[in-house]
Amino acid sequence: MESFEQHLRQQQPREIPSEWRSQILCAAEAASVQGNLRMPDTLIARLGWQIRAYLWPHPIAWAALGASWVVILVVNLSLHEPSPMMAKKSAPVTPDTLAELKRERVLFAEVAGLSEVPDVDRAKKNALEPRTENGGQAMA
Amino acid sequence: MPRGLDIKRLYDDHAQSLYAFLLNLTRNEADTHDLLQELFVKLAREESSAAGMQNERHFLIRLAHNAAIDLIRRRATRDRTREQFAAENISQFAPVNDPDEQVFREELSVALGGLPPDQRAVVHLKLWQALTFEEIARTLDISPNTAASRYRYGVDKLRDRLRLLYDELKSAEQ
Repeated sequence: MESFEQHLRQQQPREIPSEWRSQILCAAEAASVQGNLRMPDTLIARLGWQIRAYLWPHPIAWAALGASWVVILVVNLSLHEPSPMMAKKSAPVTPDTLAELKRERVLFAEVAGLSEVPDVDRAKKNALEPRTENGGQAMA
Repeated sequence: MPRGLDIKRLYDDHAQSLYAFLLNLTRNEADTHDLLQELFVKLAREESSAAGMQNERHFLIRLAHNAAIDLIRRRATRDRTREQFAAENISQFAPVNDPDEQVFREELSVALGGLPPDQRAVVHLKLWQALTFEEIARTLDISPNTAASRYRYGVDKLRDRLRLLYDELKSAEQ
């Protein structure tokens, strides 16, 4: 190293102000203690740690928000009544009801002037037969 | 490094070096304080980030360098004249009784302020931290050739600026 660089090297840098030590170490200690921010080892504890770290800035605000949602849910459930449509859907169909429906269908057919009551099952039966045979019958 | 960083020991061992390095880069004592505090707070808060460090000094210098570069960039966008202003007023060397040497130190401080931060960092680490170019390269994440060339450019600029003062000092000694 040449003499100029050697001379530069001999220049003594300023001393760090002594009062900084306590200031900086206090700040570091406060940061360390503040949230006990050392990451735990187990998965559940780590999850709890992350949630706590996430909620940490305003825990009361988050708690109030959660409580208000619980109140809304409880009020909503207590005022809730099942609708008539839902009640009908949930009620079991009795044989009397089926007989009544069949009578109403026959009556409707008579009023509409139909010669016979439409048989839904017959159409289904035809639909199950092969199309080629259907076509052959139609041609015949 | 094992868990449970001894922040006080780290401070006692390295704060002086980090202070000189940061002061050289920021040219501002308040910024140096903030960066140094930020660095130790970060170490205390995120001990795991320091878990893999091989060499404490190099690791801390790297953290300090990154923080200082971030600050310089932010400052550049905020106020482009501040660094120049600070560079003309800050003295990063200890006062000395010899008036000629004192003048040289003040001029050296100003001359360092005129270097680009990249060159300033390498010159500081080479001259006042006694790091090799390989160590500087690892610390600053650059190649050894880049470190050497930055050092050479920086020292040449310092020599040009301080030539007269240096020659007077040498002639006075003889």
